[in-house]
Amino acid sequence: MDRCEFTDCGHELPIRSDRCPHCGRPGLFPNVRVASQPTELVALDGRYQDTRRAIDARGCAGVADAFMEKVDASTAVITRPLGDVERLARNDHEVYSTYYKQIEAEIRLPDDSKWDPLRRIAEEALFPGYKENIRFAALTLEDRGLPSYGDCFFTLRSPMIAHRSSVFETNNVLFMKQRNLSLGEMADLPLGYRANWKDRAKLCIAKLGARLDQNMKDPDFSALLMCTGSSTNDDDFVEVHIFGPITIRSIRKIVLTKPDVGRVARAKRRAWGEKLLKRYGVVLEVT
Amino acid sequence: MDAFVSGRAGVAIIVDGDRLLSMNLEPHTPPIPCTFRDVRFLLGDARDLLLVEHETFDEIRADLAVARNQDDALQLALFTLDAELSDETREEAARALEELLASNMVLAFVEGVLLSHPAPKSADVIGAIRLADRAHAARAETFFGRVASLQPRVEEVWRAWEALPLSFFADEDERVRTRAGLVRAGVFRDFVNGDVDAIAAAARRVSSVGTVDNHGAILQALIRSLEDGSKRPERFLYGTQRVVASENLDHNRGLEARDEPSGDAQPSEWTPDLVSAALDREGPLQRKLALDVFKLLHRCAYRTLQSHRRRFDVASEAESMAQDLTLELFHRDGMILRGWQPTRGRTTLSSYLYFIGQRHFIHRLRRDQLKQSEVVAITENHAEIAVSDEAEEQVAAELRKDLALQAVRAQLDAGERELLELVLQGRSAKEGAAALGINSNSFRQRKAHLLRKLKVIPDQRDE
Repeated sequence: MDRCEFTDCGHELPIRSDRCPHCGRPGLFPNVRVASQPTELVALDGRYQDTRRAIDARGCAGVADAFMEKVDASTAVITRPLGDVERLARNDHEVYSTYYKQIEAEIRLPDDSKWDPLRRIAEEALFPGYKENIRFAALTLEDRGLPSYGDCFFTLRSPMIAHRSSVFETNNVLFMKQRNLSLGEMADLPLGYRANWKDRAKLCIAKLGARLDQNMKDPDFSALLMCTGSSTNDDDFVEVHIFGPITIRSIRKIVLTKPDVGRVARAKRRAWGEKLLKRYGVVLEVT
Repeated sequence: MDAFVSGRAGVAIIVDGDRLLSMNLEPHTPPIPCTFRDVRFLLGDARDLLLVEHETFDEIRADLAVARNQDDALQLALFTLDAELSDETREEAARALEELLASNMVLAFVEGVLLSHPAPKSADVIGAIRLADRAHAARAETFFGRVASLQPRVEEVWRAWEALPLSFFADEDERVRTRAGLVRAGVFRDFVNGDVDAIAAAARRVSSVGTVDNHGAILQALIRSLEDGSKRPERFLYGTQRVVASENLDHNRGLEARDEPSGDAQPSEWTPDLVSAALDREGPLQRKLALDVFKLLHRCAYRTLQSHRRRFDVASEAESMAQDLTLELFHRDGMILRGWQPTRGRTTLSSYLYFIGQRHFIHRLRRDQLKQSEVVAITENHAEIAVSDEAEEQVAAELRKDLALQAVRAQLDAGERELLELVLQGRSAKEGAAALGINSNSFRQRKAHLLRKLKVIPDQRDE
């Protein structure tokens, strides 16, 4: 258990708190603290070393080093419908909210699908007591997100999120489902499947190292890190968990995948892009 | 059926008996049942809700399409006005706006919004006219021309609205809501246009949707406030008045009645940007501008009155005239001073002010029923005095032309005289068109017709 860093306090800091409950001083973000626990670090390192040995035995050490270098520079990308991003880009008071906070504020309804109860359970297990503060993203090497979640990708500025982000093996709900974890097991999740931001390359090697081969070049790494399926169930990616709010100033680039139809839409989009760049330094790309 | 239509969200919420349905702009897509809780999600933060009543879904969808076009047009108009954007982007916005303004409903809506509040300083109306012209967007050009030319009136109406006491409304929120309803109904635009019938009709429209309860009293108060508005001094002028008053004192201390003002003003360093910066904020720069303008106009007035020593106390009259004109130039946020463009022939602020000053002072003398021969004397006298100064040469040339035109001016009707004034002021086709609320081509045609009528050689600088 962590302790409050303030010497006059020094009491235990509960894992779910982002500040000391006794003296009120801020602590590290809980998701980052969990990922930085010695047990997690040791378990992750164990997986990483095992995979590296297998990679070396296959003669792919150079490819693995190149992949790690790329992942060290990877960013977090979120995919949303265009309307959500337009609202966010309106000014820097607009906040990208979480699923739970939107429901709480009655600006959206819970999904009427089998996923809703599953995600609640999975996320409560991963983020006990603070799941409503976690935003989800995916690791990317080229500013592209997962199309099954919407037609607009936005890449976050790494310096704005690195200190409050952790990464996870894959979509957390699928992770629980694929392993058929019982409720009891969920409370005590297997170790070595999450990492803090600076160790994300280690996690990626542990997860994807077996798929590296000697012929792989830089362009192949992107598809390896993020594999787009025909639906959200088939997507394979490394999930990023970001604690706290995101505004337009947290964003570096927006990519629109749906082309504008008609002169009016194109003119509006062009003006919008120019304003984004001038006001917030956000690059708008239409593919 | 009743429906709430939002152009911003592109969604209509239909109340059909006990059912609640939502409909978007996709053609041939039937409305989808929804619940009350869905409405907030469907509309997001759109605030442009309009209540309509129709028999069929198609009619509602048609209203939704108009609302969408209105919202698009408003956004495009704002982009075209936005000096923060590049000229290319603004030009593209003007081109797209042109398509939408073909609809009278869209045009009326955008006009209703943009004429409801004085254009902010960040709005580049003149630039929007230029770019619409470059984009061959005649409707957009005419539209922005109207926005530019009506700004003084927009400001009057806005001040009248601001002067309404809060007692007309339950609270500040209701005041905001009421204003939004009046904007939507085009009431501010109708006030700006001075269209009494339209105001009454708009008031009925506002009343019919229940946005404003005591609209009659509010509109009456607005009219009264507008009538009173002209009597109230402008806050902006106080600083200038103080400066000019103190300058008068300084002059009166050392100036003999027959001495010419020193004309020590050196306004050559003024640029349009600097003038705008001075006008934007009260402070030393604004005071310096007021002083320079006053000194130059004082000198100009003094020279103009030289031929009338027997009629006037020249020193005192020149001061009085210069003071009046200085204050007038600072009226309406210094709009006349902001209108100085060196590329239009008057390369220095000095020449621009001389041009304005001479015309103003001579008109004032005329108004005081001076004889024609005396005016000629003043003008000729001035033309002789001014030969050494490039700026004054321009003034003299203008005045000679002015005299030549006097004989025929009486034959013109009011519209032609207004056009003639613009031509004589050296306004370009774009500027003149903006002032008259017509497009550039119409302005050129009318000007050619006028000049043919007058048999005067066109002013080449204009083109």
